Amino acid sequence: MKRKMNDSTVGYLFILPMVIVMIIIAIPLIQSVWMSFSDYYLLSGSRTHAFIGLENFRSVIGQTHFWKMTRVTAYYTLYSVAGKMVLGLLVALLLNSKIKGKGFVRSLIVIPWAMPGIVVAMLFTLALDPAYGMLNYLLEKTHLITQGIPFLSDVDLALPVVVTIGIWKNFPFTALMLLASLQGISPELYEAGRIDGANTWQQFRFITWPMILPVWLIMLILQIVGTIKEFDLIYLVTRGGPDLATNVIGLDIYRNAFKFFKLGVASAEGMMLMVICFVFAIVYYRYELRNG
Amino acid sequence: MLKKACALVLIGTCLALAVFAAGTKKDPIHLYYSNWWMNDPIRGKNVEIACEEFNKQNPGVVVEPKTITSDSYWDQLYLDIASDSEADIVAVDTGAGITSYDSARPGGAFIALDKYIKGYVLKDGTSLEKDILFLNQTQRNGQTIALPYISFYAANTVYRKSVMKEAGIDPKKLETWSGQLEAAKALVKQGNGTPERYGFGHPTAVDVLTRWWTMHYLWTAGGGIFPMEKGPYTADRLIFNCKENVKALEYLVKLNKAAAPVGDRKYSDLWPLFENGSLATMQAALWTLSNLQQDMKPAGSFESDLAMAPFPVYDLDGQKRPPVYTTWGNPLAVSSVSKHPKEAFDFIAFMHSVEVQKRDCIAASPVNKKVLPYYSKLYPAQGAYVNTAIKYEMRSVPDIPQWGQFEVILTQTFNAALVGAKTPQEALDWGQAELVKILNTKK
Repeated sequence: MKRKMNDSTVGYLFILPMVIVMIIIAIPLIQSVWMSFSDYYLLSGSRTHAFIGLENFRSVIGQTHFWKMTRVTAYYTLYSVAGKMVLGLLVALLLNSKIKGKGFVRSLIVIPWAMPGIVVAMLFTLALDPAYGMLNYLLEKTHLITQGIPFLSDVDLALPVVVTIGIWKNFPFTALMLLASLQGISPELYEAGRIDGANTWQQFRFITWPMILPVWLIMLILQIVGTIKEFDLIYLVTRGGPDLATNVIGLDIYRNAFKFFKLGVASAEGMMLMVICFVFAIVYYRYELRNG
Repeated sequence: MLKKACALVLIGTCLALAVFAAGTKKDPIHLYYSNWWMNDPIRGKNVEIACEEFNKQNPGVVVEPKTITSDSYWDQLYLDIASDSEADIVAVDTGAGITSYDSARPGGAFIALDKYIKGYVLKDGTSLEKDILFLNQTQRNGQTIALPYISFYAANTVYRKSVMKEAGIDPKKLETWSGQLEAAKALVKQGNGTPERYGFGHPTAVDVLTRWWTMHYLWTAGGGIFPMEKGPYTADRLIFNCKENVKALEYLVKLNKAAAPVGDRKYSDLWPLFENGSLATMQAALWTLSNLQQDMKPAGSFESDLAMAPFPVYDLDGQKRPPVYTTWGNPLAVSSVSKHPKEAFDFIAFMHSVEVQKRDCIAASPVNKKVLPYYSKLYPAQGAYVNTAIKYEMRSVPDIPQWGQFEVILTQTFNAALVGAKTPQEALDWGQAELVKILNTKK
């Protein structure tokens, strides 16, 4: 009896840190859910916050820029994820092949991912400056342009540029995960394929791709969830401008909360984002269940 | 047994002594002073010196400055007030609106100071009632809720005499809108692609503080947010998309396209360009003269080469309108949740003493009348700036609870127009609609 209790106690002690973390996460989450249904306007000078039902959610959808923000978020997520997944796969395939210096290259590609977001933002803000940036300097020197391009303050260019920066920063993580998966494929499979006359593309299609697909799908879902709630990189580079051209939902939540002090509206917007991320999390969970 | 008893008696005696000692020793009163200047090499140093001097003169009170960057200060202050956790002494900005911060707490975020001001005389003989200017600018509901501390004006146009001479341009051209545009275009020095020198600099970035750099253009053109920025501040009185504002913004767009560095620019991007000669003219507020004084190249050029012209006269469409300047101050208030309001008031009163004001007016205009005769001798450029500015009408932005939100919309409006994302009319129409929504948001 005493041994059983000790085993139980040990078990509870092991899960205790996780329980504490869950409680720490749960409290603000529950508070945020409550705020999304309350009249929580910081500048009202009132300390009472009445229940107002779905009014905050209606306010979010009623914002004049709501559909523009939705399009911008969808565009950013779609192209950023696609770029990270495709580039990550290509780099992983390259690093898995017989090339000289791949050890050195492997350590280099980690750098963008390891760099703090603020450093990446400052780097690109300086490099893309229309008057003094390196990129415009090179383009002018090679006579491709006659005057600097305002990459970050042009309404048509700002979003694609921010997508590119996001891809540059985050593709290494995908590449490294896929590389690990590639290295788990038995070389005998490729040998057997070669003996059967399979060319490079056929080897990729019938051996490599099916073997790495589970990891690729997991990375896809994780990247979607991570990208759709992006905030720091875009805030640091463009602040959501010019003219809300890069105003994704993460930035809009920040604006409503800390510029307009409409905490109820911001919480409602956060809940909507959470539901979207939750949907993808369920997709991931069901996929994991199905594949044991 | 005896040993145990002796040990217990000894421990008990020691504990009692410790409690007694702790009880008799009086902890100093600790006050926090929040401001956004601590990262400025000059103003931050001056704050430290002032705190040290006050602490020495007032044993038993320790005032400690809180470091918050200017970017995050304003949002942080709202959140602090809403959570009753702001500092005892708070620096505010009449351009940011004292009302908006004061109304963020039921009953007011700052205490009324009238009872403390009455009859208060500093050690140097300064009477708060008689010797301090602008006390009426820090009132709410008929009560004084802050002491003015320092004041500012914007904006004169600064230029280098040598550059104007080299380009063959009469500096008087800078005194009208049409002349400024012509001069700015002529001052651009083309290089291989990117100009070697730009003719004019204006902050365009979405997070720039509007009141310092753009409002005087709208006012001088005859526009603004409300007529003459006077109340009542209701949605039906908004004039943000009036034709005068459109004209002002169209002019700025033209000026930027013709002569300014391309892209999103903060003021902190522009003054280094002016300092190293890559920018020929720019607007300068009073506080930026201290930055130029520090860093302008080559050494000595601040004293010998810097000159300024008043904000230009509006002379477009056959009209002539004199300049309207922006004025604001950085008053100091005492938090209504401070446990030591009297001591906090003593500190903010101390900040109006002659010696503190003499030091601090390197970056501002003093509010202590006793300092004014010394001002031009101590800081000739700053004195010249103020003497130019005070000839003209001064206006402040509306001091309304929603000003913080207004500023977000204003900066977005100006940014959209200045980077070409929208036409000035489109941008101002959007801004007008958003401002109406803000005013109609029920409290």
